[in-house]
Amino acid sequence: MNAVILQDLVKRFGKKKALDGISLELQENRIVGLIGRNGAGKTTLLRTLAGFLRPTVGSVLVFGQNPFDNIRVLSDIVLMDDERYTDNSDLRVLIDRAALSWSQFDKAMALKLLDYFNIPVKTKIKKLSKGMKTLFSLVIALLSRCPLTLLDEPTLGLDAAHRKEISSLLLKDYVNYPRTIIVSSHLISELEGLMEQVVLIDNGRLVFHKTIEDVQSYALYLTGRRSILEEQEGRRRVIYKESMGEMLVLGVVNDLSAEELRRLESSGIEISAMGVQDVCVNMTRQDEGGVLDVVSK
Amino acid sequence: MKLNPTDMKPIYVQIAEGIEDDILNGVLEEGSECYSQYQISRMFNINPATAAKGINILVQEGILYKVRGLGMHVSKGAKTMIRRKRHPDIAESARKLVLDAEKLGIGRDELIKIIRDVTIPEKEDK
Amino acid sequence: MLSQNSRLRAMKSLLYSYYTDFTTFYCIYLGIITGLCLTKFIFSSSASGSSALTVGMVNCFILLPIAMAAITSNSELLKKFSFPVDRDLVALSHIMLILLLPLIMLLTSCIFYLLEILASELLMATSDNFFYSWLVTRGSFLAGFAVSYIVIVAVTALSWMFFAWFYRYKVIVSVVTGTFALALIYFSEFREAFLSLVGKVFVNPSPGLLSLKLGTITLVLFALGYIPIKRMEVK
Repeated sequence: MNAVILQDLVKRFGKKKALDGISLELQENRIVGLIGRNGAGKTTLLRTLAGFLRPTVGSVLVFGQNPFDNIRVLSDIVLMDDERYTDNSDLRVLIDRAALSWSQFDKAMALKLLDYFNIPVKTKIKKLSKGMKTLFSLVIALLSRCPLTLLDEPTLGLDAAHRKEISSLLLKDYVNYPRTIIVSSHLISELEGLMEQVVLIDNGRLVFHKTIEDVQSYALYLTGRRSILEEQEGRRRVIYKESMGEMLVLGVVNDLSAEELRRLESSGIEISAMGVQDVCVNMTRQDEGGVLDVVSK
Repeated sequence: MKLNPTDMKPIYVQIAEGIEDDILNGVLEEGSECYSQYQISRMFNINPATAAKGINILVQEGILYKVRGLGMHVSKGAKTMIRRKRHPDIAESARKLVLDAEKLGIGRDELIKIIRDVTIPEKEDK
Repeated sequence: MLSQNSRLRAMKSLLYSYYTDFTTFYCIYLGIITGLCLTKFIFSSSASGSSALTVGMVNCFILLPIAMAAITSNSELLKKFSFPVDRDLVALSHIMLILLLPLIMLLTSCIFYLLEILASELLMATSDNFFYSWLVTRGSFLAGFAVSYIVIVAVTALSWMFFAWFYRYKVIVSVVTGTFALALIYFSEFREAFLSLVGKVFVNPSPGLLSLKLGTITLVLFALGYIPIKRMEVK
């Protein structure tokens, strides 16, 4: 069954189109990475899924129902982002509210985890540091065990050690309680292993929806002499190009056969995988040049 | 077994090869129980579905087999199967080695001599 | 299924959240009313009629609209929507607040009033220099309580309705209210027409009739305020 079905989803804020015709189907019980640059529309997409926003055009179905103002399906959805759980009250009150809201909320585990992360429950959320806030809302969202769990930038403000722990925690809880989890991020390296599928969006549009393996093998870096590589440039879909003197680095979409790869390698070209992170960055590049061109002018 | 996210090979292929390596090394004995998808998932922080994909490759090749209720086990003759399967890989590695050697101006004969002189410390017996 | 009791759960959770919010609010109210009563008692040697009741009433008129402005604001609603709720539940709990808060606040000021009477009686017994005039009888007290309650509820409902629209449609609401206020100030004909309309509703009715009229107006205000809440997006 599909957990999420989007059809030509458009969301406009005034004149600005935050989402510009996204169609997407996500199966149940998967971890999906929602990747995109800042302002690509990740947060808007998640908030539409969570029933906060009404689509301007198109339709959103979560477990077969429209989530906007629909308490039946809303009680199966949790959204974690940096604007959640900002109440003035103690963390304790928020935990109690979570326990009232979701029958399956694991309060005992929540308290244990907060204790482990050294977050005292008798403080107000405002007093917590950025990272602590993220940890707190992640604990709430995760232990609500909602069939659709939406995590918007769940590593915001976390240090490397916490990021690692969060990804193990997420995975462990997912294995024990399978559900659909959508994780949005612009920095994906530490969450890459968790994802089964990647949805890449840019400027409110869907760039691709692929399995993580397909993204990993989607593109290659070819490094070597300009004379050899320039001949390749015309024939391939180039998504990255950087040169230094006679040396050229080309990022190309991988449609090369094993034979072609071997021949390139024999002619002194180094071939390496682009990696999920770089594929996503290169596929959503603004235009030629980049920030260094701006600075040097 | 270890994983390299920037390797050309997809993670699930790396998992399959990692298990094969462990069988060749004798870390996993023929007939013994293999890692489960959840163990691998926890060990490397990867999605269990990805781990399962890697295991399934080996099941299809007959290197692992499923024991009902007890999980995956290493087949008898798994080592031989892996050796046979991986034989062409050595040629590929040799090709890379030759390319690297050429870069350094080392001829084939010299390379062969180097290969002959490589010493590997005696394997400790368990 | 999981979602069978979803609405009931959501309601409980939302009410719990408002309950914790309003314990803070109530503490502020208590603080203000205590402070005002004490200062009045200390600085004036005579207490006239119902200082606690007046203070409580004025307090309601100031604090409740502020509370309404708070609960209808986007940032407050965002907090409520961190957990599953729908817009009907939000509107319903707001209406419950509008009905309950004035009652609690008025009852509190009555308790203060009783304390005040007690203290005055004590003072009268011990000091010659103190006068206390009884203006309140049981009958007038009950009628006064009922009418005050209904008036406060109506005023609170009005401010709730206003802010519910205001946060969603800031420009339109500002222009409309601005025009209306300016028209009241500068066009005497408009002002008189408006005042006579208000007069028709409120001048010289019996307490029962007044309550009935105000009750109807409150219901209309609830309906009007429900519209923007039902349609709103959470941002």
